[in-house]
Amino acid sequence: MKKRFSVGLSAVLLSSVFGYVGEASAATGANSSVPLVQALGQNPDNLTPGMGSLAVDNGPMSLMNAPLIFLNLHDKWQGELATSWSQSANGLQYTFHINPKARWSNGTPITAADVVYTWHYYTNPKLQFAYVTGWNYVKDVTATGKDTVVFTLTRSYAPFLSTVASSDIVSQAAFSKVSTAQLNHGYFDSHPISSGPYILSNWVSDQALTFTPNPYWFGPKVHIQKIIYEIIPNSQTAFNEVLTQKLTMGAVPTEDLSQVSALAPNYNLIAPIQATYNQITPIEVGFLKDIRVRQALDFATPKAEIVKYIMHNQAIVAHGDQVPGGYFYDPNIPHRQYNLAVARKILLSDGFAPGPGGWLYKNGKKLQAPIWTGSTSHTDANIAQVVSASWEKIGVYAPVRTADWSFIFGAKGPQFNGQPECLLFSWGQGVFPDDTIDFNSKFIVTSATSPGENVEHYSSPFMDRLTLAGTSLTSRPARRQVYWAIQRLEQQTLPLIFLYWNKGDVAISKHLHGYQQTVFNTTPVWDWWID
Amino acid sequence: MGRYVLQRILEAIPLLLLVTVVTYFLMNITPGGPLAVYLHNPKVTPARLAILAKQLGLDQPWYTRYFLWLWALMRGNWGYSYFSGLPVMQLIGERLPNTLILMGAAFIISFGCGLPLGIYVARHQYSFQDHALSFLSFFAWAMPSFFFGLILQTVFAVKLGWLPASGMWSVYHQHTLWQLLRHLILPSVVLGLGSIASWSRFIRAGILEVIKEDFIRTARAKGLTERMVFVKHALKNALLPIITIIGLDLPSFFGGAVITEQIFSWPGMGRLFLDSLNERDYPVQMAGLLIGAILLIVGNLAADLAYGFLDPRVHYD
Repeated sequence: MKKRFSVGLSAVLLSSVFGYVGEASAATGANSSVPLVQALGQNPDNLTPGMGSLAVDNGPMSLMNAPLIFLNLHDKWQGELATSWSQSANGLQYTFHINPKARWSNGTPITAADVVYTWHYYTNPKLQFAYVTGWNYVKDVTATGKDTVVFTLTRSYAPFLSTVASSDIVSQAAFSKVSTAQLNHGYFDSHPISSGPYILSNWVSDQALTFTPNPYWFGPKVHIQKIIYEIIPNSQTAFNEVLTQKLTMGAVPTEDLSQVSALAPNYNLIAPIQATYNQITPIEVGFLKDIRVRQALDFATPKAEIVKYIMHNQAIVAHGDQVPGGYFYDPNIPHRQYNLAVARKILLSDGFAPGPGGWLYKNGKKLQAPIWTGSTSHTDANIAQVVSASWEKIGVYAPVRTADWSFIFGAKGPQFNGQPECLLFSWGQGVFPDDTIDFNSKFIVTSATSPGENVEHYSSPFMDRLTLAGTSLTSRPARRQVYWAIQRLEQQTLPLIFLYWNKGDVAISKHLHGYQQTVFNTTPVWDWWID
Repeated sequence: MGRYVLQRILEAIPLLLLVTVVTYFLMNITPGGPLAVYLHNPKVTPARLAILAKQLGLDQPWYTRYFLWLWALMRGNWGYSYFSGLPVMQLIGERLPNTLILMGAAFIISFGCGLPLGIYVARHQYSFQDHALSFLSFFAWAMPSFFFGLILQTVFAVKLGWLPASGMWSVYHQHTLWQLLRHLILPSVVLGLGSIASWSRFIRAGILEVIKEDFIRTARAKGLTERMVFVKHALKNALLPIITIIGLDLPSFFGGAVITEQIFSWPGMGRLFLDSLNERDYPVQMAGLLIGAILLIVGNLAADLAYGFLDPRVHYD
């Protein structure tokens, strides 16, 4: 009896301790009560509309909020809160018709008055928003009926739909009762109110956010009854959680691609291009002002080798700042192939000659282009080393310097030391490109707090005209022609040396259906289901 | 004893003040700052940066901000996170218990394994077991915690599927004590490993030193069993130096948990502190540093008091 009891007890204990395997199996059961579990790299900082500044905020926010419109899988604007909208011919007015069935998660209707209140919310100087892009162009927001709202702009602003109209709407009834101090200090995070398909039912800091269906959701019915974001800061740990099948979907780090075969029985692998590209910004001081020098550096940059040997083909070579496959991408941009001989020939014909140390000199000055990158990114450091070695083969002195990003972009960093320097970092491209801040001479940065992002000090009257046209033309095909012209000008004059577009390997559970991903978006959450 | 404790507390106050001043100064001269994260963001205009700086009080000199922080602290207000806007006390309150759980478990493992290990190798001095375990101790001592953590995770969670890879609770099951213990095993072993190695070495050295003393020979001559000699006489005296070491190690558990918490997604103070360093979130940084300094002082005091309890020759007046 005692022996059987001991055996039985042991069996119970063992099955409890090692019953973890059962946990993963339960996660993929054949019913809609199976939760969808994803990882976030860090705790969202703030889920109050407009106040979050982290990329990880986007997923949870998209579950909770229904903006007026959203970008669908075909890169076309589709109504969510709005059933329809129109734009005036001069681009100064946008009219939205709100779905009369729209409700907040407490059951109260979402009306035009909420949209008007939202304008006041985003323009309240006492609220701690990091940025409220586009709202500064809004002159007035008026409710012309219970469900009709008109935006009047100060000027024609082409990115209006991707900024203002895609912003999260806030509840006048809920937010007007709360002081700005309370809103600034996280009140909404513990008292959330949703307009979207899900509500935040539980948030344990640094652990997990749990979402359940919004009972008053007015859109298509959702199938998944629980979506959980687990906070997993370490990417290797997150991948291990994919291997244990705890996560329904998760990123595959580049260094773990060799383990992809282990995922095959339970996961499909997709590798969408991401709207982020890596590039080298040559700050146009001294010899780096010379277009021919930049062209030579472009010829001397081994982009294909970087993609193959450092990125393990989880990237594609970039030739401009529009993401391949995107509406504004020009597929006919000529490419410069890696050619050290051509690069050196350009420099020699430009008046440079070999001097002491084997470096090239002109008028007694050494041709130098130090490459700065962040000390926390070993990938960028590797790339900098490779590029440096290649540039030095053609006689350009290009030491690699790593530092904290806040130093690199700070007041005492390489941008403002008056020396020719190069910065290697990643940059993103939004749904609607706005090259004004990147390449317009009006936005050349002169201090750490200058507006804009023309770090390279690039100046071209052609680019100035094109970038302004890109943000003011109301016709999408016309804007496309503008951005094609910008890409050709980028290729000729090289404000940046483009390296590659990132591809992100994502493992998707075979039990998850309806999920598709493009560069900028995924299918809506109501199209997803788990068997 | 009471007077001694009070005296030590009063001596700690200027020390803590000095720590906070130096730390606050160093934080402010470090390149960047809380708004540095927005410098490279083209959507953030200079006007918006100026508004944010004023709202967060960052337009004032560092010493003014320090005194405002200190004055608020003396009234029990630890301030608000620059990053999330949440009260610092709330952030700490949500995470400190989790770190204490992890530290407590690591401590139990360290002491529970280190003590018998130290005794065993001391009793088998220069044997094969002594050499082998010494080698393993140094190996474990030298092992970086992040590397060891990932190895354990890969073996026990991914390959064998015996234990969870990360987190404090399961997202699939109800929160139970058993779930917590299962999630605690890997991170507490990683956190405690270095201390198992070091403490066992110190205990071994302490026992070997004490075992040569005359009173031990007297105890044996009296006819006591070897077990009694070790446990009742040698061990008690050998533990005296280890008490000090444990007291000094207490803050290192807190600090060492930073890496372990990252690897195992343990929602503790370590992650909060690391994030605050990256984000230049001064109020949270100061809170973390202050807690670390307090732990060091408390650990030292506890070690001294324990010393006095164990050694009747020591008096604190």
